[in-house]
Formats: sequence, C-alpha cells, structure tokens
Amino acid sequence: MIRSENLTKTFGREATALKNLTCEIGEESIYGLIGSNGAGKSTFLRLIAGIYKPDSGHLYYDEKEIYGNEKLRQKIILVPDQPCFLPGESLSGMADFFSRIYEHFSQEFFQELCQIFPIDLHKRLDKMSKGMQRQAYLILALSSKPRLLLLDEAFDGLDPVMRENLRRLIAREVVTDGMSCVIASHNLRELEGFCDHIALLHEGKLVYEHELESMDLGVFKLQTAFKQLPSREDLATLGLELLHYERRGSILELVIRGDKEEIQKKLAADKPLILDMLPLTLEELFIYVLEGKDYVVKSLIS
Amino acid sequence: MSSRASFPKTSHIFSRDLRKNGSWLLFVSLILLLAEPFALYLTGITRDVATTGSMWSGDFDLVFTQIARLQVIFVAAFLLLAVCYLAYRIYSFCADAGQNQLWFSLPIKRSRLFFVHYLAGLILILLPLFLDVLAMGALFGGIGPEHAPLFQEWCRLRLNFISPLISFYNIAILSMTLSSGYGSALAFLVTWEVVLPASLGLISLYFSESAGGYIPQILSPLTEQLIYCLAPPIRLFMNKAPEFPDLAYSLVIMAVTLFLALRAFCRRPLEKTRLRLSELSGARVLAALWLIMAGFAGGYFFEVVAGSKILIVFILGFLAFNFWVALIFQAMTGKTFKQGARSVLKTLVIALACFIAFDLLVELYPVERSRSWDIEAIEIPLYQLYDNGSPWQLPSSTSVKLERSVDDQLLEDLSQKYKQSQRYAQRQGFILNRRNSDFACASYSSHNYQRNSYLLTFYDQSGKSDQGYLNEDQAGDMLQKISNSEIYGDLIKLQRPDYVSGDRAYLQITAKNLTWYEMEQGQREEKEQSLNKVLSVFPDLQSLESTDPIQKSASRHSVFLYTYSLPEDWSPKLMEACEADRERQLELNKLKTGMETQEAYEQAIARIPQKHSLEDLEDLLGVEDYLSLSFCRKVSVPGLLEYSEDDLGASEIGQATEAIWLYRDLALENKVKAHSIETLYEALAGGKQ
Repeated sequence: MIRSENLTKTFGREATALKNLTCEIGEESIYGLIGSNGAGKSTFLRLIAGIYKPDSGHLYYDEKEIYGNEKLRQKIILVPDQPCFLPGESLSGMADFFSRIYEHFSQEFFQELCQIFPIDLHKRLDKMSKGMQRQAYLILALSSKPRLLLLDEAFDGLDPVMRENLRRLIAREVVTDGMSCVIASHNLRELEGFCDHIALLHEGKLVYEHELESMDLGVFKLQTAFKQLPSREDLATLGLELLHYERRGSILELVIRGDKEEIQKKLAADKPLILDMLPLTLEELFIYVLEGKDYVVKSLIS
Repeated sequence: MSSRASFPKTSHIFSRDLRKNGSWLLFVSLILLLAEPFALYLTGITRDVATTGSMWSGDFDLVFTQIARLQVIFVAAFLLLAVCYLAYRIYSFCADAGQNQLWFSLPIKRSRLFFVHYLAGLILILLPLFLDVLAMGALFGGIGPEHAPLFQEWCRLRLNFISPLISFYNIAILSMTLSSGYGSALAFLVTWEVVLPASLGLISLYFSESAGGYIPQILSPLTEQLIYCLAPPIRLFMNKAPEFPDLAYSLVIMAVTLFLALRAFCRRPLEKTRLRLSELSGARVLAALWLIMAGFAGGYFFEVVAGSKILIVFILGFLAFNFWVALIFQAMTGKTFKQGARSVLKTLVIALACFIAFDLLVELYPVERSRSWDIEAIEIPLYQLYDNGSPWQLPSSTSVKLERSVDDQLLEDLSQKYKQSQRYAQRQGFILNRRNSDFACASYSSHNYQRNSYLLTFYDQSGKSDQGYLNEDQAGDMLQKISNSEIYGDLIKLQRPDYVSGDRAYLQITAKNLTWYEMEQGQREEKEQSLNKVLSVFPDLQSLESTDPIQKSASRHSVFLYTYSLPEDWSPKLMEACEADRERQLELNKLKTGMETQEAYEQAIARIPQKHSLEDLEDLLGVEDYLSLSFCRKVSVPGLLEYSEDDLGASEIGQATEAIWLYRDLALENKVKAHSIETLYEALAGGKQ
C-alpha cells in the first residue's frame, strides 16, 4: 500500500527530519510508529498525507507517487497532533464541509461516532479543549472512510475510556472496511496490544521494523520455579544467554536469547516446578532486541 | 477524481467564502451607496435641497460631475483598502500553519483551490460596484432619459476602476501567498505599493533631470501603471479618456500579478510557513533589484532632504534604505541577522558595479549621438532676457528659436557648446564623477523658475528635438553670443518683437477672483447676470461662436465665462492697437525696472497720468467687479520667434495687464459706449492715434 524508498526530508540546512527512510506499510494493518520527540514521526506522516514534498527518495501509495496527487488524498486522511478547523466552525459545520470534500463520507457513521464521542455538534470547535478537538477531528476523519488513516499522537488528551473506544473503532474499521492505519506515538505503552506492525524511528532513521505476530526474535520471556532457585551463574553454566534475571519470592522471571526448544530443554533438565513461556511486552521487546539503543527505548518508556 | 467530480467540492468552498464575507460585502456596498449623499453634502448641494426642496433643481450635470470627482478620490481610497483587507480575509489560511495544513491536505488541486477563493473574492469586489451602478441607474431612470450620457459616464468611471481594484487584489493575494503571516504580507504590500513606486518615481525623476532619454520614458509609466494601476481612473478624473496603453498596461499587470500569485500558491511549501521568496525562480535577482532600487530611492531622498547633491549623503541614504528593505526581506525569509547583513553587502557590491557600468555607459551615449546629430535649430528660453510685464508674475515660456538659415555660424558655435556641455553635465551629474553641485542645482532651479538655468531645445532637420539643462555658467557664452548677434540681439534688446503678425485673436470674458467653491455655492447665476449685462453692451457677442463652455475652463481664481474667437479681419486691428500702445508699454517697463515689490509697482503706476480708475470702466460697462474682459492673442515672428501671450490681460494683477488698460484708456478717452465689437475695435485701433 505505502512504500517509501530512501525518503529524505530536511528543514533548512541543518535539520534533517528523515534520512533515507525505506519501509513498507501493508493493507489492512495497524502500523505503529514509535519514536521520541523529533524522531521524524510527524514528518513521515505528513509526507504520506502529501502535505510535505520529499527532498529526495520516493513515496508511493499503490505504486503512485503521493505528493501532488490530489486523487490519492481522497484516500488518505491525517489527524494531526494539533487539529485545526475552519475558523468559527462547529462539528456539524465541519462535517458538512468534509461530506462535500470527501466522496465516501458517511453520515450514518458520523452519527454513530457522535454517540461514542459525545461532542456538542453546534459548539464552536476552536473554543473546545485539545482533547475534544482531537475527538472531533477523529470523528470527521473516520466518517470520511479513508483507506489510510494517519494518526499523529492520537491518544494524547484522551481519557482511558475514549482511548479504548478509539482502539476498538480503528480495529473494527480495519477488519470490516479494510482500512489501514498508521499511528505515531512517542509513548510505547499506548501502542501495546494494538498494532500488528511496529517501527521505531530514531533521528530520522528507521531503527527497527517488524510484524509483531510473526515475530521470531530469538528472545524469550519465561516464568519458572524450582525447589532450589538457581543463581544467575548457575543458569549461565547451563549455556543460556541470560538477558534478564529477576527473583520474585519463589518465582524466577527470565529473559533468555536463544533457540526456544533448546532453552526449554536445558531448563527442564533441572526439573522446574513451573516453566511457562510468556509473551514479551513491546517495552521488553525494544529493551532486549535493540541492544545498544537502550537510551532510545528508555526515552520512549519514560 | 475528475474535474466534474471535484466541482461540487469547490463550489461549496466558493459559496462558503461568499457567505463568510457577506458582512464585508454589505459594508462596502453601504459605503458606496452612502458615498452619493456624502458627496452631495461635500459639494454643498444640501443647501439647494434646503432652499428649493430638490437637489436636482440646480444644474444637474454640474452637480453630478462634482459627485463623480469626489467619489473618485474618497471611494477609490476606501475601495483599495477594502480590497486588500478582503484578500487577506479570504487567504487568511496562508498565515496560519494549522489552516495551511488543513486546506492543503484536502483532495483538491492547489490551482483549483486558489481559483475558487480568487473567484469568490472577485465576485465580492465586483458586486458592490455593480449594485452601485444599478442604484444610480434607477436614480437616473427616475430623473429622465436626458441624463443618459451622464449615466454612461458614471458607469465608465466605475468600470474603469475595476482594473486597479483587481490589480490591488492580486497583489494583496500575492503578498499573502508569499508570506507566513500578516506582518510579512503587509511588509510585502507596502514594499510593492509604496517603496517600489517611490523608488521608480525617484529614479525616473533623477534620470529625467540628468540624462533624459529612455529611462524616464520607461520608468514613469511603470511607476504610474505597473504599481498603482490607477492610470485609467486618473485619466477619467482629469477629464481625459483612458488611453489604450493604460488599459493594456492594466491588463498586463493584472495578468502578471495573478500568474505570480497562482505560482506562489501552487509552489507554497507547507513545512515552513514563513515566506519563501527563494522558492520562486529569479527571486535572488528580484531581491537584488529591489534592494538597489530602494538604495537609489533612499540616496535621492536623503539628497532632497539635505538640499544638496553630495555623494556622501547619497551613499548614506542608499545604505539606510537598502538596509531597511534588507530587513524586510530578512523578516520575510526568516534569515538570521548575519545572513541579512551578508545579503546587504552583496547588494551593495552589485549596486556599485551597476553605478560604474551606468556611469561608463551614459558617458558614451551622448558623445555617440552628437556625432550623428546635426542641430538645425535651438530654442532658448527668454525669461531672463524678456520680462513679461510683471515683476511678480512667473516668467512666461517665451523663447527664441535660432535657426541655421538665419545665422549659421552662431548655430554652429552653439551646437558645439551644447555637445561639450552635455558631456560636461553628465560627467558632473552622475554618481561617481560628481565633483560639485552645479549641474544638479541647475536642474533643480529650473523647476523653481529661478533664473540661473536654461532648458534648451535642440532640433534636427526632421524636427526631432532633445532637451537639456544648462546652468548660467555653462550657458553664459552661449547667451552672450545670442545677445551679440545682429539679428537676435536687437530682438532681445527691444524686449518685444518688432515684427509681429496676428494669428488669431480672442476675447475672453472672465470672472475673476472667484474660487471654484464660490461657483458651486450658487454664484454662477449672478455671474451669468453679469454676463448678460456685458452682452447688452456688446450685443453682437452673441452672434460669435463660444469656444469654451463655462464648466471646463474654471480655475481656482478665475472662471472664463466664455471665450469668443474673433473674426480674423479683426486681429490686425487689435495688433494695430497693441502697436500704438507700445510706447506706453515701454514707459511702463522702464518704471518697472528695479522694482522689487508690488507696492512700489503700484505707486509707479499711480504716477502715470490716469483719468479714470478701473472701477470707472466697470461702471461704464455696468458689470460687477469680479468681471473683466481680456483679449488674447497669439503672435509670432515666422522663422525667428514663436511665443504666445495667451493671457494678455487676464492676469491676477489685472490693473497692469495690457488689454484691459488699453481698452480702459481708449474706451474712456473716447467715451466709448461700445455697442458692438466693431465699434469697440474701431475705438481700440484709433484710440491712441
């Protein structure tokens, strides 16, 4: 769906937002874009939305260059981190405007969304709080039935209930309508359990990109218990590459790099009382996968 | 998406723009419609309304002309400001990063987005004008069909104002599309509308004084039309029909500014919502040009303020203005101070190179031309040599035309002198080689009618002419030669041509000391009564053709009621009368010599034996004191002298003017109760003999 090739975007002579970014975003996926402030997430989204012009490289939507192609902009909608509306307009006014601009705007879906996100339809949007404005823009964007929804820090300013609502809505649209979504955030936890793809941007470069479900990273998280708990050294003598060792009462929590079966075999030799394989959180994933770039991860988690 | 499919989108934006600016439309329309009664109030018509109950009881055409003129001034200024404001309102999203992002992320082509806003603004601009025309149409329809031509004139006035309005609209849009905010847009607008025309005007003025030729010819229309685009309405205001070049210029300006605005809009980068002049091709050249022009204007302005042409003052002014414009650019392009200073420095180097190049080029130009240019005649002003009869009156533009056929040697000498002086003038007059202020002062003083400079006109065989200023020193030898010349010397010494032949004579009946305002206040009727008295004295005046209707010859201090073109066979009679009066004129001139004040002059006049005063004459004629008669004539000495005395008697110092004196004396001496023009001229011709 979206393919970028050596995409570079600079602001002035010294500020380079993106450096030779190459990636692909597939159809019907929720693509999480993680990065600290200034990593180039918003720039990437604006480039995808056709707002910015790439300095070099290419950016395609269905193999068509995005910038300057207003037909493609029918299919792509960006919800910016700071939404902006036509001066003095209310949500109903903006909906009227969007319905005339976007061909697939659905009034029914708009009404439904207005029930989920309760916003005064006739109140001036520029008088509303940032969270309300964001909700309003999300309503407008989703009602326009885009093929690709770009969300820039979309969860900022939303309360937990609204966040969950939004997640469900997006997931529903992806499943039922085949919509794709790229969601950029500087907070790793916001994307936890939501994205099927994840990418880490750092200083304009794509540091890491992977599909979470089919991920075989060679790093495993285990929960185990022994009659006599082994020490870090004991486990090391078994030939395990231990990344994390944490003792919680009689339970050990381990993160080990290596072959899954071999790890289980080695630990089973010591006859553990419990041996469970646990899923890695995104946080742990970045910590243990991106060795040497833990400073990036720390900033995301903090 | 096809264009058909996108039409409803843009039509919605179009209607939204109209809706959102409805208040503007209402306000402007109201102001335009209210401008009529306001203009009426200003013209004093309200008094007529109060006294007669109808504002149309007076001279409708006159009233209407007044309204139209005032409207041109007040309404024009208002409309131009309003149009700029409207452009800023419609394209306000250009000044806001969020709005920018919203609009430019919509699935609409940028050019389409531009034009839909543009058309909405255009309609908003045109609607009030057409509403106004409709309202006036209804008014005229109510008054009567006889005023249809006047209504057409009104429409023409309104329609001719469309082109400058659109040009202003385009330029305001251009300023918005190039800028990040209202501040920089205004800076751009002021630079375009004020700094640039002022620079062009000053440079044009500078070169018209110094070199003449093509530069002012190019720059002057540019100043008026390229920037202000006001030539058509100005011409209308001056009671002239708009000329084709004006309209063509306006159309070109509209097209160019529209193209630039569209281009800037389509190429407007959104990542930086600050002005990106550099995104436009040729922007550097444009910026350098503006900086140089601003520098020129500043230098010239400083010299004018300082009152002297000194190089250091010029350079200071150049730097100051250059720096100011550079700062504006800096603000618009978001450059750092260091970058701004570097650009100023660059511009200065370019400007210096331009000065040197120009200095060298203009040095070559007249030399080259003088080689191939054979001067056949030289026209020299005589206002220093020939006194026009009043020490308080500005010298008339009387001149002597020297021709090769009359004195070949003298003309050859003067031609050489001219060529030398031209070279000298340009060496002295331009920037780098300027050593003293002689040349420049001479140029200045000529505008103030001071008597130390001469505007000479040189003619070639084909009649082509070229003008050049010389100061007293430069022209001293030349004028000495003229004075010493056998033929021309006598002419000048006499201070009056010996050989005159009448071309045409006129009788003007003039109401003096009346201002335009007084005329508006209803004294026209009184004047006409006075005129009727005159006509009762000279009944056959009515049979003569009136050549000058009252409305068009009114000036601030006098109103020529009617000008009668007298039959040709009467001209010699008038001339004879003038000849007969020559001795008396010489006596008067002698008395005037050395007098410095009007009082002294009046005392001198009082010493001339007089039997009667001017009032006696007026009594005799039975006219009011603000009415006078004057004779005008055009005299020439074929091949030698050409000048016209178009105001032989109707100057502000009426007592000292020839015709009225002559007429008075003759009339009173002969106790003329002039019943006809014929008897009047008989009296004139024979009175002194």
